[in-house]
Amino acid sequence: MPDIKVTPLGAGQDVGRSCILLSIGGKNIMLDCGMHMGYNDERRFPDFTYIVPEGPVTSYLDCVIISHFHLDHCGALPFLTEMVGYNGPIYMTHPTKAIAPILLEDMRKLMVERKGESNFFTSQMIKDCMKKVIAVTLHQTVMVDDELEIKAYYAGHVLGAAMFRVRVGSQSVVYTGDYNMTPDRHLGAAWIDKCRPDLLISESTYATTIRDSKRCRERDFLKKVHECVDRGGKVLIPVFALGRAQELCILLETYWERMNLKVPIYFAVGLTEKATNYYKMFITWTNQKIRKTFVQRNMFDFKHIKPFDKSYIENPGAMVVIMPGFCVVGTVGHKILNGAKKVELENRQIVEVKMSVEYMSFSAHADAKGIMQLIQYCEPRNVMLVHGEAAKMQFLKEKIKQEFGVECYNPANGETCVITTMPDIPVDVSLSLLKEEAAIHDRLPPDPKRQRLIHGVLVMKENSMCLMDVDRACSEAGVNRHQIRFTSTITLDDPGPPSRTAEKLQQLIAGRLKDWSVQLTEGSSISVESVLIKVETTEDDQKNVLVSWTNQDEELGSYILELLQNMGR
Amino acid sequence: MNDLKMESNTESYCVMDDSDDDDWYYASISRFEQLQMFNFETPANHLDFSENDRICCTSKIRDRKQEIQEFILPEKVPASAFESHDLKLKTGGFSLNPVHQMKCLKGRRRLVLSEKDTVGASIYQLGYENSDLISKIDTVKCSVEKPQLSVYENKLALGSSADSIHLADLETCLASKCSVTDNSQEEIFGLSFVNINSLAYCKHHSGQVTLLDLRSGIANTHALFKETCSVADNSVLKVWCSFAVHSELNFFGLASSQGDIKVYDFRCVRNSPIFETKMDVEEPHFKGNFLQIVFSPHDMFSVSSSRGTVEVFSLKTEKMRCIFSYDGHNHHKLKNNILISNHVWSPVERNLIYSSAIDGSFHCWKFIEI
Repeated sequence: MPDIKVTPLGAGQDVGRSCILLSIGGKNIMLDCGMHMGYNDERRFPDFTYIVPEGPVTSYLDCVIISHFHLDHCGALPFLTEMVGYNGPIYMTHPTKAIAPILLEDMRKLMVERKGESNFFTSQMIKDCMKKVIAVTLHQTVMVDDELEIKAYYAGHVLGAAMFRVRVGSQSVVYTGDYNMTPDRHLGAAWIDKCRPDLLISESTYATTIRDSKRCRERDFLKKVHECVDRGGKVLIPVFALGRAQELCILLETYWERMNLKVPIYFAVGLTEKATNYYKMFITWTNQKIRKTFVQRNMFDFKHIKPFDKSYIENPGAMVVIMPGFCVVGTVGHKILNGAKKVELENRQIVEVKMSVEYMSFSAHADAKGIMQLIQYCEPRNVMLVHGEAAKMQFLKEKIKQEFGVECYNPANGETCVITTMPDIPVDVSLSLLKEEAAIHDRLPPDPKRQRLIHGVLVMKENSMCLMDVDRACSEAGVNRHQIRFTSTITLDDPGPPSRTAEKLQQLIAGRLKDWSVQLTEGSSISVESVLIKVETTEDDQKNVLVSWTNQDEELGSYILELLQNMGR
Repeated sequence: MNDLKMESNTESYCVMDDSDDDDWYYASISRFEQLQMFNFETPANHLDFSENDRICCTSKIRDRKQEIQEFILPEKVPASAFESHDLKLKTGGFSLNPVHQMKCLKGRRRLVLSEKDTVGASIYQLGYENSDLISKIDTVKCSVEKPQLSVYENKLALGSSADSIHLADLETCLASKCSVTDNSQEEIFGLSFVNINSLAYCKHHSGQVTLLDLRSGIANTHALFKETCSVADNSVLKVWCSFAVHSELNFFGLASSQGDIKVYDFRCVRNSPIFETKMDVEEPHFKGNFLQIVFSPHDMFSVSSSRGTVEVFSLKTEKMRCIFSYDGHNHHKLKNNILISNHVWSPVERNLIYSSAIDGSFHCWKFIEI
């Protein structure tokens, strides 16, 4: 089975979620199991009936791998395990296993309690699902079964995000999930060794973007905040808790200190406390520099930033409030970002939106340059970019091909892409065979273009292959060596003793085969390698020339035979 | 006591190595309305607008090959909170030879390239809905090797010397030689349409500026400078290395490798220049060849300096002077000698410039006048 098959689940040009089916060496793996946050019906979950229209899905899938805790990569997992009934192994890194349930629960609450969803997974289902997860460590090779092996690599992006290498036999695939190649304030850059997989699967979503530098985005952020507080206004900053909130705090704190600003900054505690604990727990996953600070002091104690209390809302004058949380579809935050001028709050109260709204993205994603760098690191034989429109990927495909000489595929959602690989089969060659060939090769004039030929027997022992000479192969197999000889007779009209005929023939042959040793032997015979030519007199005073050769000298023998047959014509 | 405590607090927040840079970024908040910095894998050398909001860049990738990329520039999406900070690659392609000049046919999804070791010019198609590839579709045949290019509506002017000026129609790609009164074979540069009927160009050593009337073929050459090949004290050759035209105001500008900057009005060339100044050229003096003068669509012009800055000058009669100096490519103390390879003014927004440098950086900056 040299083919690798990949099918990104989803429909049309959907980029909202990741769920990829991989078939390699007879094993089936699901890479990520994301939920599409834009839909309110069953379209938000991947169509698992694609995997197997009826019956248990567990027997079809060998394992599920989750790259990181973002909901568009793991949001449908509880649905897969508790409602569709998948019972097999699920792999993710330790931080992902710790943090994913928090997000899943938050999202579940939102769907069920706020939006009145009925057919959704329950709190208990999330807990049961996570119990089935096997956590893995970076660079640890995990055997899913005796043939399928997986290994996680650091991906940057968010805490716990990993790229996974899947290997079966001599075939391997690397799936990147979301990653970034430039380190930011609290996370390092993705790294992978030169593992030379047959296929590298990556998102195409950011492949055509060149990101503005982090410092410029931060400058923009500070500019907007400063301008607002200068006017005496209030700034509300909802930020996705894990990671980004801390970064913004450091940014504001440093700026406030340098510019000697007195406007108060508040931080609404809540989700963040847990986040802080996770960061402390998973210290090895963070940036080198963050680690240094942790050793000295608690990085989350700030001079200018104080905990927020609801009563402060009434305080007059400028202030900045950082609120951890997220603005997924359905939340008030999301509506406001999309330009709503009136929103309905929890208590059914309708309020007008009179503030100016800005959206700033600090998230770390790979871009066009990043993808090229990653390909350079791991040297895949093929590249696949998912979630992209074919018409918009031609240049990148061409660029990758030109730069690295590898094919780039971009299947549409729901389309199966088949990659034919050339698996390497290692063969041991016996030393004596090599020496023999080397001796022949050295005798001939040097020619780098000449093909080097070894004759041997390919023997398969247990799981390895060996090339050895005939005699050894026979003895190992306990078989007697057979020789095949071909003999043909030509009748010639040549009076005189057979020895004379033999001489003439020898001269003729020697004349044509200048590189070979053509010997005249007794009994009116000629020998060239294993080809024997014997001349005999017949009853009618004609000469019978017997030409005989072994299987190995087929070419030589046929040549000589033809030469003799066509003499004098 | 309190002061000491403050100090130790600040120190431990210096988590990033580039916190030395902080001051420049904090100051930039009041110096720029907009600032974006990008890093290309390979430095961009030619820049031109294919649409008002899209820019094409060429860069050398490997051997002689060049990559052409068309980007959508960062912009604010109206009626929503989403601002785009990034460059979006829309179309891309390759050219087999080093690009000598590139000119886009704005709004028409095409560009013209003049390549080294080829004669005439090549027309490339920028991608459409069904494909994002930039590919060659036609050739403008003429015997000029590595010509200078200038585009005006449907016309293309090509030439590398006064006696080799050709005009081509961009629909038919047919070129015909202009018969002109100047038959000098000295190399020219800065070939530009001043209006539909006139072309202007400059000669490297003499600094002679010629205005060519395309209808009559009469070339009016102005020998503006007494010296021709001037040799400075330390035996460095002075050449005029940049020439640009502001068609609306009828101005043209020149920059020399020694730092001379002069702006004249076409209608009264015999008078002294409208504006002149001298910029310092850093050692080694070849850096002076990076001096490039560019006019803004309005009433300013800019010159890239030998120190890797872009100096902006105002042409308003009441304040002809330097009004801004952009040091973004070289602000980090560890970086220096990063020369600007090209810069262009936004065709629509005032005070907005895009600059590319030899280290692969590409910056978009909208300055606030001093």
